Amino acid sequence: MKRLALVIGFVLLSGQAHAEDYLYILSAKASIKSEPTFSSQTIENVTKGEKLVTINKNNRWFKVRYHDKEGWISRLSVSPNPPSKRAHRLALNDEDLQDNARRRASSVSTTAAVRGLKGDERNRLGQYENATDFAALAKIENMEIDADTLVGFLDERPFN
Amino acid sequence: MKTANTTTNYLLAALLTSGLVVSATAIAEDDFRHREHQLSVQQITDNDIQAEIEFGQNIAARILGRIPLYDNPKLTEYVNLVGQTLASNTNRPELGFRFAVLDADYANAYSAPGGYVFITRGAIRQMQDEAELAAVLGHEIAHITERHIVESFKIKGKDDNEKLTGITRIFSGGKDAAGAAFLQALDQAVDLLFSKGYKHEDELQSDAVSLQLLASTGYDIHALKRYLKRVDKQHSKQEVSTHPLSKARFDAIGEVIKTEGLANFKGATAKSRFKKYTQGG
Repeated sequence: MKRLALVIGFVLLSGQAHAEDYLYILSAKASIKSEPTFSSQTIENVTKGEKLVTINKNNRWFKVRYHDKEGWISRLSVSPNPPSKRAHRLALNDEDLQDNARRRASSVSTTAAVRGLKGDERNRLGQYENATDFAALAKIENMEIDADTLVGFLDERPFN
Repeated sequence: MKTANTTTNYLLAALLTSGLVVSATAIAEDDFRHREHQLSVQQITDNDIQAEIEFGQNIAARILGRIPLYDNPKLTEYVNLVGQTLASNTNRPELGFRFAVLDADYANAYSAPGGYVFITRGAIRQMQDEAELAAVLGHEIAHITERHIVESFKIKGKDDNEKLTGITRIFSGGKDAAGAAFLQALDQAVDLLFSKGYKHEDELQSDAVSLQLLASTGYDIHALKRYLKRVDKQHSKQEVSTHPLSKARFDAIGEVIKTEGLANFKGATAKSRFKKYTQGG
Protein backbone atom coordinates (compact mmCIF):
# COMPACT_ATOMS: atom_id res chain seq x y z
CA MET A 1 0.00 0.00 0.00
CA LYS A 2 2.89 2.33 0.92
CA ARG A 3 4.52 1.51 -2.36
CA LEU A 4 1.32 2.36 -4.26
CA ALA A 5 1.10 5.70 -2.46
CA LEU A 6 4.70 6.42 -3.36
CA VAL A 7 4.09 5.62 -7.01
CA ILE A 8 0.98 7.83 -7.09
CA GLY A 9 2.89 10.62 -5.38
CA PHE A 10 5.74 10.33 -7.85
CA VAL A 11 3.33 10.45 -10.80
CA LEU A 12 1.61 13.55 -9.41
CA LEU A 13 4.91 15.30 -8.77
CA SER A 14 6.12 14.38 -12.26
CA GLY A 15 3.01 15.94 -13.71
CA GLN A 16 3.58 19.16 -11.78
CA ALA A 17 7.18 19.28 -12.88
CA HIS A 18 6.18 18.96 -16.54
CA ALA A 19 7.51 21.81 -18.65
CA GLU A 20 5.07 24.45 -19.82
CA ASP A 21 3.69 24.12 -23.30
CA TYR A 22 4.28 27.02 -25.62
CA LEU A 23 2.55 28.27 -28.71
CA TYR A 24 4.07 30.64 -31.24
CA ILE A 25 2.26 33.24 -33.28
CA LEU A 26 2.70 32.31 -36.94
CA SER A 27 0.22 34.69 -38.53
CA ALA A 28 1.44 38.19 -39.32
CA LYS A 29 -0.64 39.51 -36.43
CA ALA A 30 -3.27 38.24 -34.01
CA SER A 31 -5.34 39.37 -31.07
CA ILE A 32 -5.60 37.82 -27.63
CA LYS A 33 -9.28 37.97 -26.69
CA SER A 34 -11.07 38.05 -23.36
CA GLU A 35 -13.40 35.23 -24.46
CA PRO A 36 -13.13 32.49 -27.12
CA THR A 37 -15.01 34.58 -29.70
CA PHE A 38 -13.96 37.14 -32.31
CA SER A 39 -16.49 39.60 -30.94
CA SER A 40 -15.01 39.66 -27.43
CA GLN A 41 -12.69 42.37 -26.16
CA THR A 42 -9.08 42.47 -27.36
CA ILE A 43 -6.69 42.12 -24.43
CA GLU A 44 -3.47 42.36 -26.40
CA ASN A 45 -2.30 42.48 -30.00
CA VAL A 46 0.59 40.15 -30.81
CA THR A 47 2.75 39.62 -33.87
CA LYS A 48 4.51 36.79 -35.64
CA GLY A 49 7.10 34.96 -33.57
CA GLU A 50 5.82 35.90 -30.11
CA LYS A 51 5.59 33.08 -27.58
CA LEU A 52 2.54 32.27 -25.45
CA VAL A 53 2.11 29.83 -22.58
CA THR A 54 -0.63 27.32 -23.26
CA ILE A 55 -3.20 26.86 -20.54
CA ASN A 56 -5.83 24.93 -22.43
CA LYS A 57 -6.08 23.81 -26.06
CA ASN A 58 -9.26 21.92 -26.57
CA ASN A 59 -11.21 23.88 -29.10
CA ARG A 60 -11.04 26.39 -31.94
CA TRP A 61 -9.68 28.81 -29.37
CA PHE A 62 -6.74 28.22 -27.04
CA LYS A 63 -6.51 29.69 -23.58
CA VAL A 64 -3.08 31.27 -23.20
CA ARG A 65 -0.93 33.40 -20.94
CA TYR A 66 1.03 36.27 -22.42
CA HIS A 67 3.30 38.02 -19.91
CA ASP A 68 0.98 38.48 -16.95
CA LYS A 69 -2.28 38.37 -18.89
CA GLU A 70 -4.56 35.45 -19.69
CA GLY A 71 -6.85 35.30 -22.66
CA TRP A 72 -7.88 33.37 -25.76
CA ILE A 73 -6.24 33.08 -29.15
CA SER A 74 -7.58 31.57 -32.38
CA ARG A 75 -6.08 28.22 -33.30
CA LEU A 76 -5.62 29.55 -36.85
CA SER A 77 -2.82 31.89 -35.76
CA VAL A 78 -0.59 29.61 -33.74
CA SER A 79 1.65 26.55 -33.83
CA PRO A 80 3.75 24.63 -31.30
CA ASN A 81 6.67 25.26 -33.67
CA PRO A 82 8.34 28.66 -33.91
CA PRO A 83 8.19 30.38 -37.31
CA SER A 84 10.57 28.82 -39.80
CA LYS A 85 11.89 30.10 -43.07
CA ARG A 86 9.77 29.53 -46.15
CA ALA A 87 9.82 25.93 -47.29
CA HIS A 88 11.92 25.04 -50.31
CA ARG A 89 9.92 24.39 -53.43
CA LEU A 90 11.08 21.82 -55.91
CA ALA A 91 12.40 23.91 -58.79
CA LEU A 92 10.75 23.28 -62.12
CA ASN A 93 13.48 24.01 -64.63
CA ASP A 94 13.51 23.48 -68.38
CA GLU A 95 14.97 20.01 -68.07
CA ASP A 96 12.22 18.99 -65.67
CA LEU A 97 9.59 20.28 -68.04
CA GLN A 98 11.11 18.43 -71.00
CA ASP A 99 11.38 15.28 -68.92
CA ASN A 100 7.83 15.60 -67.75
CA ALA A 101 6.12 13.97 -70.71
CA ARG A 102 8.54 11.07 -70.70
CA ARG A 103 8.20 10.63 -66.95
CA ARG A 104 4.44 10.64 -67.23
CA ALA A 105 4.42 8.06 -70.00
CA SER A 106 6.72 5.81 -68.06
CA SER A 107 4.80 6.30 -64.83
CA VAL A 108 1.47 5.54 -66.41
CA SER A 109 2.88 2.35 -67.89
CA THR A 110 4.26 1.44 -64.48
CA THR A 111 0.96 2.07 -62.79
CA ALA A 112 -0.90 0.07 -65.41
CA ALA A 113 1.51 -2.82 -65.05
CA VAL A 114 1.15 -2.88 -61.29
CA ARG A 115 -2.61 -2.78 -61.56
CA GLY A 116 -2.46 -5.64 -64.02
CA LEU A 117 -4.14 -3.62 -66.75
CA LYS A 118 -3.76 -4.49 -70.40
CA GLY A 119 -4.87 -3.38 -73.85
CA ASP A 120 -7.77 -0.94 -73.88
CA GLU A 121 -7.50 -0.26 -70.18
CA ARG A 122 -3.89 0.86 -70.60
CA ASN A 123 -4.87 3.04 -73.54
CA ARG A 124 -7.56 4.64 -71.42
CA LEU A 125 -5.02 5.33 -68.68
CA GLY A 126 -2.73 6.76 -71.34
CA GLN A 127 -5.16 9.63 -71.81
CA TYR A 128 -3.83 11.01 -68.55
CA GLU A 129 -0.45 11.57 -70.19
CA ASN A 130 -1.64 14.96 -71.35
CA ALA A 131 -3.49 15.81 -68.19
CA THR A 132 -0.61 17.64 -66.55
CA ASP A 133 0.79 21.08 -67.25
CA PHE A 134 4.05 21.64 -65.40
CA ALA A 135 4.85 24.65 -67.58
CA ALA A 136 1.75 26.43 -66.27
CA LEU A 137 2.71 25.36 -62.76
CA ALA A 138 6.20 26.85 -63.26
CA LYS A 139 4.54 30.10 -64.31
CA ILE A 140 2.62 30.14 -61.04
CA GLU A 141 5.71 29.23 -59.03
CA ASN A 142 7.65 32.10 -60.56
CA MET A 143 4.93 34.64 -59.93
CA GLU A 144 6.00 36.82 -57.01
CA ILE A 145 4.03 39.73 -55.63
CA ASP A 146 6.29 42.70 -55.10
CA ALA A 147 6.48 43.54 -51.38
CA ASP A 148 5.71 47.22 -52.01
CA THR A 149 2.64 46.28 -54.05
CA LEU A 150 1.31 44.14 -51.20
CA VAL A 151 1.97 46.86 -48.63
CA GLY A 152 0.21 49.38 -50.88
CA PHE A 153 -2.75 47.02 -51.24
CA LEU A 154 -2.98 46.55 -47.47
CA ASP A 155 -2.71 50.29 -46.87
CA GLU A 156 -5.62 51.04 -49.15
CA ARG A 157 -7.82 48.51 -47.38
CA PRO A 158 -11.07 50.17 -46.48
CA PHE A 159 -11.13 48.39 -43.13
CA ASN A 160 -7.97 49.71 -41.53
CA MET B 1 17.87 10.25 -74.80
CA LYS B 2 16.74 8.54 -71.65
CA THR B 3 15.16 5.16 -71.73
CA ALA B 4 11.78 4.48 -70.15
CA ASN B 5 13.54 2.52 -67.44
CA THR B 6 15.81 5.43 -66.65
CA THR B 7 12.93 7.86 -66.42
CA THR B 8 11.07 5.53 -64.09
CA ASN B 9 14.14 5.52 -61.89
CA TYR B 10 14.19 9.31 -62.09
CA LEU B 11 10.70 9.50 -60.61
CA LEU B 12 11.48 7.00 -57.91
CA ALA B 13 14.76 8.71 -57.08
CA ALA B 14 12.90 12.00 -56.75
CA LEU B 15 10.48 10.38 -54.36
CA LEU B 16 13.31 8.87 -52.34
CA THR B 17 15.26 12.12 -52.25
CA SER B 18 12.32 14.09 -50.95
CA GLY B 19 11.44 11.36 -48.48
CA LEU B 20 7.83 11.56 -49.59
CA VAL B 21 5.83 8.79 -48.06
CA VAL B 22 2.53 7.57 -49.32
CA SER B 23 0.96 4.91 -47.22
CA ALA B 24 -0.23 2.13 -49.49
CA THR B 25 -2.82 1.06 -46.97
CA ALA B 26 -4.11 4.60 -46.67
CA ILE B 27 -4.65 4.78 -50.41
CA ALA B 28 -6.63 1.60 -50.48
CA GLU B 29 -8.94 2.82 -47.77
CA ASP B 30 -11.92 4.94 -48.58
CA ASP B 31 -12.24 5.78 -44.98
CA PHE B 32 -11.51 9.20 -43.61
CA ARG B 33 -10.23 10.20 -40.24
CA HIS B 34 -12.03 11.81 -37.41
CA ARG B 35 -11.65 15.54 -37.28
CA GLU B 36 -11.41 15.94 -33.54
CA HIS B 37 -7.63 15.64 -33.38
CA GLN B 38 -7.33 18.53 -35.78
CA LEU B 39 -8.81 20.83 -33.22
CA SER B 40 -5.38 20.89 -31.65
CA VAL B 41 -2.32 22.14 -33.45
CA GLN B 42 0.00 19.48 -34.76
CA GLN B 43 3.71 18.93 -34.82
CA ILE B 44 4.71 18.93 -38.47
CA THR B 45 8.29 18.21 -39.47
CA ASP B 46 10.24 19.91 -42.26
CA ASN B 47 10.17 16.63 -44.16
CA ASP B 48 6.38 16.52 -43.83
CA ILE B 49 6.16 20.03 -45.32
CA GLN B 50 8.44 19.12 -48.22
CA ALA B 51 6.37 16.00 -48.91
CA GLU B 52 3.17 18.06 -48.78
CA ILE B 53 4.56 20.58 -51.26
CA GLU B 54 5.81 17.96 -53.68
CA PHE B 55 2.53 16.06 -53.60
CA GLY B 56 0.68 19.36 -54.03
CA GLN B 57 2.81 20.38 -56.99
CA ASN B 58 1.81 17.22 -58.80
CA ILE B 59 -1.87 17.74 -58.02
CA ALA B 60 -1.61 21.37 -59.14
CA ALA B 61 -0.02 20.27 -62.43
CA ARG B 62 -2.95 17.93 -62.98
CA ILE B 63 -5.49 20.65 -62.22
CA LEU B 64 -3.70 22.84 -64.78
CA GLY B 65 -3.66 19.93 -67.22
CA ARG B 66 -7.46 19.91 -67.13
CA ILE B 67 -8.15 23.63 -66.97
CA PRO B 68 -5.75 26.19 -68.47
CA LEU B 69 -4.64 29.37 -66.76
CA TYR B 70 -6.66 32.48 -67.56
CA ASP B 71 -4.34 34.96 -69.23
CA ASN B 72 -5.22 38.13 -67.33
CA PRO B 73 -2.25 39.51 -65.36
CA LYS B 74 -4.26 42.29 -63.71
CA LEU B 75 -6.91 39.92 -62.37
CA THR B 76 -4.31 37.34 -61.38
CA GLU B 77 -2.37 39.92 -59.39
CA TYR B 78 -5.55 41.06 -57.66
CA VAL B 79 -6.53 37.50 -56.67
CA ASN B 80 -3.00 37.01 -55.34
CA LEU B 81 -3.15 40.23 -53.31
CA VAL B 82 -6.45 39.26 -51.70
CA GLY B 83 -5.25 35.69 -51.19
CA GLN B 84 -1.90 36.70 -49.71
CA THR B 85 -3.67 39.04 -47.31
CA LEU B 86 -5.84 36.17 -46.05
CA ALA B 87 -2.95 33.70 -45.96
CA SER B 88 -0.93 36.08 -43.78
CA ASN B 89 -3.54 35.44 -41.08
CA THR B 90 -2.99 31.68 -41.06
CA ASN B 91 -0.46 29.53 -39.21
CA ARG B 92 1.16 28.23 -42.41
CA PRO B 93 3.44 31.11 -43.50
CA GLU B 94 6.16 28.66 -44.53
CA LEU B 95 4.12 27.51 -47.52
CA GLY B 96 4.19 30.68 -49.57
CA PHE B 97 0.70 30.42 -51.03
CA ARG B 98 0.11 30.75 -54.78
CA PHE B 99 -3.18 31.88 -56.32
CA ALA B 100 -4.23 31.50 -59.94
CA VAL B 101 -7.29 32.12 -62.12
CA LEU B 102 -8.46 29.27 -64.33
CA ASP B 103 -10.02 29.77 -67.75
CA ALA B 104 -13.40 28.15 -67.18
CA ASP B 105 -16.93 29.55 -67.50
CA TYR B 106 -18.34 27.62 -64.58
CA ALA B 107 -18.01 28.69 -60.99
CA ASN B 108 -15.67 26.60 -58.90
CA ALA B 109 -12.46 26.73 -56.92
CA TYR B 110 -9.81 24.17 -56.10
CA SER B 111 -6.76 23.86 -53.91
CA ALA B 112 -3.80 21.54 -53.65
CA PRO B 113 -1.58 20.82 -50.64
CA GLY B 114 1.46 23.02 -50.30
CA GLY B 115 -0.39 26.27 -50.91
CA TYR B 116 -1.89 26.17 -54.41
CA VAL B 117 -5.29 27.86 -54.77
CA PHE B 118 -7.24 28.07 -58.01
CA ILE B 119 -10.45 29.91 -58.84
CA THR B 120 -12.29 29.95 -62.16
CA ARG B 121 -13.06 33.20 -63.97
CA GLY B 122 -16.68 31.96 -63.95
CA ALA B 123 -16.65 32.07 -60.15
CA ILE B 124 -15.24 35.61 -60.12
CA ARG B 125 -17.94 36.67 -62.59
CA GLN B 126 -20.57 35.52 -60.10
CA MET B 127 -19.10 37.68 -57.34
CA GLN B 128 -20.21 41.14 -56.41
CA ASP B 129 -17.48 42.28 -54.06
CA GLU B 130 -14.00 41.54 -52.67
CA ALA B 131 -15.37 39.98 -49.49
CA GLU B 132 -17.03 37.26 -51.61
CA LEU B 133 -13.73 36.60 -53.39
CA ALA B 134 -12.00 36.45 -50.00
CA ALA B 135 -14.65 34.05 -48.70
CA VAL B 136 -14.05 31.56 -51.52
CA LEU B 137 -10.25 31.90 -51.36
CA GLY B 138 -10.47 31.53 -47.58
CA HIS B 139 -12.44 28.30 -47.97
CA GLU B 140 -9.76 26.89 -50.29
CA ILE B 141 -6.92 28.12 -48.05
CA ALA B 142 -8.61 26.23 -45.22
CA HIS B 143 -8.48 22.92 -47.11
CA ILE B 144 -4.70 23.47 -47.17
CA THR B 145 -4.16 24.73 -43.62
CA GLU B 146 -6.38 21.98 -42.22
CA ARG B 147 -4.43 19.47 -44.35
CA HIS B 148 -7.54 17.70 -45.60
CA ILE B 149 -5.88 15.96 -48.55
CA VAL B 150 -2.61 15.42 -46.68
CA GLU B 151 -4.49 13.68 -43.87
CA SER B 152 -6.75 11.74 -46.23
CA PHE B 153 -3.83 10.16 -48.04
CA LYS B 154 -1.44 10.17 -45.09
CA ILE B 155 1.24 12.13 -46.91
CA LYS B 156 4.25 12.28 -44.61
CA GLY B 157 7.93 13.01 -44.84
CA LYS B 158 10.54 10.42 -44.02
CA ASP B 159 11.29 10.06 -40.33
CA ASP B 160 15.03 10.60 -39.95
CA ASN B 161 15.11 8.62 -36.72
CA GLU B 162 13.43 5.52 -38.08
CA LYS B 163 15.36 4.32 -41.07
CA LEU B 164 13.09 1.44 -41.89
CA THR B 165 9.83 3.35 -41.97
CA GLY B 166 8.17 5.35 -44.68
CA ILE B 167 9.54 5.30 -48.18
CA THR B 168 12.06 2.60 -47.29
CA ARG B 169 9.25 0.29 -46.34
CA ILE B 170 7.45 1.00 -49.57
CA PHE B 171 10.63 0.41 -51.55
CA SER B 172 11.03 -2.96 -49.90
CA GLY B 173 7.94 -3.93 -51.85
CA GLY B 174 9.65 -3.07 -55.12
CA LYS B 175 10.20 0.07 -57.18
CA ASP B 176 7.03 -0.36 -59.16
CA ALA B 177 4.96 -0.46 -55.99
CA ALA B 178 6.44 2.84 -54.81
CA GLY B 179 5.74 4.59 -58.10
CA ALA B 180 2.27 3.12 -58.29
CA ALA B 181 1.45 4.13 -54.72
CA PHE B 182 2.44 7.71 -55.49
CA LEU B 183 0.41 7.81 -58.70
CA GLN B 184 -2.56 6.11 -57.12
CA ALA B 185 -2.61 8.74 -54.40
CA LEU B 186 -2.44 11.43 -57.08
CA ASP B 187 -5.27 9.82 -59.04
CA GLN B 188 -7.45 9.63 -55.97
CA ALA B 189 -6.65 13.16 -54.84
CA VAL B 190 -7.57 14.52 -58.28
CA ASP B 191 -10.71 12.41 -58.25
CA LEU B 192 -11.56 13.92 -54.89
CA LEU B 193 -11.15 17.42 -56.30
CA PHE B 194 -13.05 16.94 -59.55
CA SER B 195 -15.77 14.42 -58.88
CA LYS B 196 -15.97 12.79 -55.48
CA GLY B 197 -15.61 15.96 -53.46
CA TYR B 198 -14.31 16.47 -49.96
CA LYS B 199 -16.06 14.83 -47.09
CA HIS B 200 -18.96 16.91 -45.87
CA GLU B 201 -17.30 17.61 -42.53
CA ASP B 202 -14.18 18.89 -44.32
CA GLU B 203 -16.35 21.33 -46.26
CA LEU B 204 -17.99 22.51 -43.07
CA GLN B 205 -14.63 22.94 -41.38
CA SER B 206 -13.34 24.96 -44.36
CA ASP B 207 -16.42 27.17 -44.18
CA ALA B 208 -15.75 27.76 -40.48
CA VAL B 209 -12.11 28.63 -41.08
CA SER B 210 -13.10 30.89 -43.99
CA LEU B 211 -15.44 32.81 -41.69
CA GLN B 212 -12.68 33.16 -39.11
CA LEU B 213 -10.24 34.39 -41.76
CA LEU B 214 -12.78 36.90 -43.04
CA ALA B 215 -13.26 38.18 -39.50
CA SER B 216 -9.58 38.34 -38.61
CA THR B 217 -8.81 40.14 -41.89
CA GLY B 218 -11.72 42.54 -41.56
CA TYR B 219 -14.01 41.40 -44.37
CA ASP B 220 -17.80 41.10 -44.29
CA ILE B 221 -18.35 37.61 -42.88
CA HIS B 222 -21.78 37.31 -44.50
CA ALA B 223 -20.08 37.22 -47.92
CA LEU B 224 -19.61 33.43 -47.86
CA LYS B 225 -23.28 32.64 -47.44
CA ARG B 226 -24.26 35.37 -49.89
CA TYR B 227 -22.00 33.98 -52.63
CA LEU B 228 -22.93 30.33 -52.05
CA LYS B 229 -26.64 31.12 -52.22
CA ARG B 230 -26.19 33.00 -55.50
CA VAL B 231 -24.20 30.17 -57.05
CA ASP B 232 -26.71 27.66 -55.77
CA LYS B 233 -29.45 29.46 -57.66
CA GLN B 234 -27.58 30.10 -60.88
CA HIS B 235 -25.58 26.97 -61.50
CA SER B 236 -26.43 23.39 -62.11
CA LYS B 237 -25.79 20.74 -59.49
CA GLN B 238 -23.06 19.20 -61.56
CA GLU B 239 -21.01 22.35 -61.66
CA VAL B 240 -20.91 22.79 -57.92
CA SER B 241 -20.91 19.13 -57.01
CA THR B 242 -17.48 19.28 -55.39
CA HIS B 243 -18.75 21.89 -52.97
CA PRO B 244 -22.19 20.53 -52.07
CA LEU B 245 -24.73 23.07 -51.04
CA SER B 246 -27.20 21.91 -48.51
CA LYS B 247 -29.38 23.22 -45.77
CA ALA B 248 -27.01 21.56 -43.30
CA ARG B 249 -24.12 23.55 -44.74
CA PHE B 250 -25.93 26.87 -44.49
CA ASP B 251 -27.08 25.95 -40.98
CA ALA B 252 -23.49 25.18 -40.01
CA ILE B 253 -22.33 28.56 -41.35
CA GLY B 254 -25.04 30.22 -39.29
CA GLU B 255 -23.95 28.28 -36.22
CA VAL B 256 -20.31 29.40 -36.55
CA ILE B 257 -21.44 33.01 -36.96
CA LYS B 258 -23.49 32.61 -33.80
CA THR B 259 -20.88 30.83 -31.64
CA GLU B 260 -18.09 33.18 -32.70
CA GLY B 261 -20.31 36.15 -31.90
CA LEU B 262 -19.96 37.43 -35.45
CA ALA B 263 -23.58 38.26 -36.23
CA ASN B 264 -23.00 41.96 -35.71
CA PHE B 265 -19.43 42.01 -36.97
CA LYS B 266 -18.95 45.01 -39.22
CA GLY B 267 -16.63 43.96 -41.98
CA ALA B 268 -15.85 45.52 -45.35
CA THR B 269 -17.18 44.32 -48.70
CA ALA B 270 -14.55 46.36 -50.61
CA LYS B 271 -16.96 46.48 -53.51
CA SER B 272 -15.45 49.47 -55.29
CA ARG B 273 -11.96 47.94 -55.32
CA PHE B 274 -13.38 44.66 -56.61
CA LYS B 275 -15.03 46.51 -59.50
CA LYS B 276 -11.81 48.35 -60.26
CA TYR B 277 -9.78 45.17 -60.62
CA THR B 278 -12.37 42.95 -62.29
CA GLN B 279 -13.72 45.30 -64.93
CA GLY B 280 -13.25 43.57 -68.23
CA GLY B 281 -12.12 40.45 -66.41
